[in-house]
Amino acid sequence: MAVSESDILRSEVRWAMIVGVAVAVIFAAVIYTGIELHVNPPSNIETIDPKALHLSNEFTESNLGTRVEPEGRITTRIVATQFAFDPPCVVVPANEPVTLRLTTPDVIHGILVTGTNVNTMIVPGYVAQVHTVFTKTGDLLMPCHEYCGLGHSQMWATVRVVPRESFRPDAEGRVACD
Amino acid sequence: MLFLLLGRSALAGKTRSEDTGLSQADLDTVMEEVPKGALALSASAVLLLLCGWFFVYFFIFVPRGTVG
Repeated sequence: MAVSESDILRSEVRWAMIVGVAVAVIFAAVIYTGIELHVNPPSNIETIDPKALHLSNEFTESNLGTRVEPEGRITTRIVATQFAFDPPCVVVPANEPVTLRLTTPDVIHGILVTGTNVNTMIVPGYVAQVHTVFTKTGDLLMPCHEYCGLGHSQMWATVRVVPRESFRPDAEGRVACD
Repeated sequence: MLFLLLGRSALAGKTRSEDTGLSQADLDTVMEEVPKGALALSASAVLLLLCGWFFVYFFIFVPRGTVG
């Protein structure tokens, strides 16, 4: 044989080193964006009784949608049900930190907001929370991306991103579509 | 595996050089080049994959904004 065992071993070791370097570079990129650019997987462990959302303080119907909290934080609360989001349209300001809080009383749903990195599951019994900053104005589609039943394909909402000057909360701090 | 066994049994009765007229030295010369070609092919594939990953990560994922 022209190629000896040691030649093969050497090439395999080199190849393993190349792959090791590639994996290390990818890890470094992920850690850099996580620490420096604050791009992280949404993580929130918070339980809620899915049978009593309408009785909870936070996810009652009148409290859904976008609200500027007394301390200035902008929070959008959405309930995902088979097969609609309540409210079906929410308004958020551009270039401001926004917190999306979602829950569901029935089955597992999921959301993504097109053109952004917002993407999370919505699991009964838990509150899903995503912090983000929307940078482009316009109506963004927010479909359910977890099959939740026969009407799944009809389940979507709109995230209306408006310029900061057009984001006008009412006396209670609420902002709604139309 | 079956293919390998069949191939070996076929070569057991008759050497390949008798079939093709190639000498063992010719075959050795070809074998010397094989690992280089395989490495070049796999390195290109991995390089393309890495370039694709970095392109999607830094030109699509990161510009879509912070999330957490």
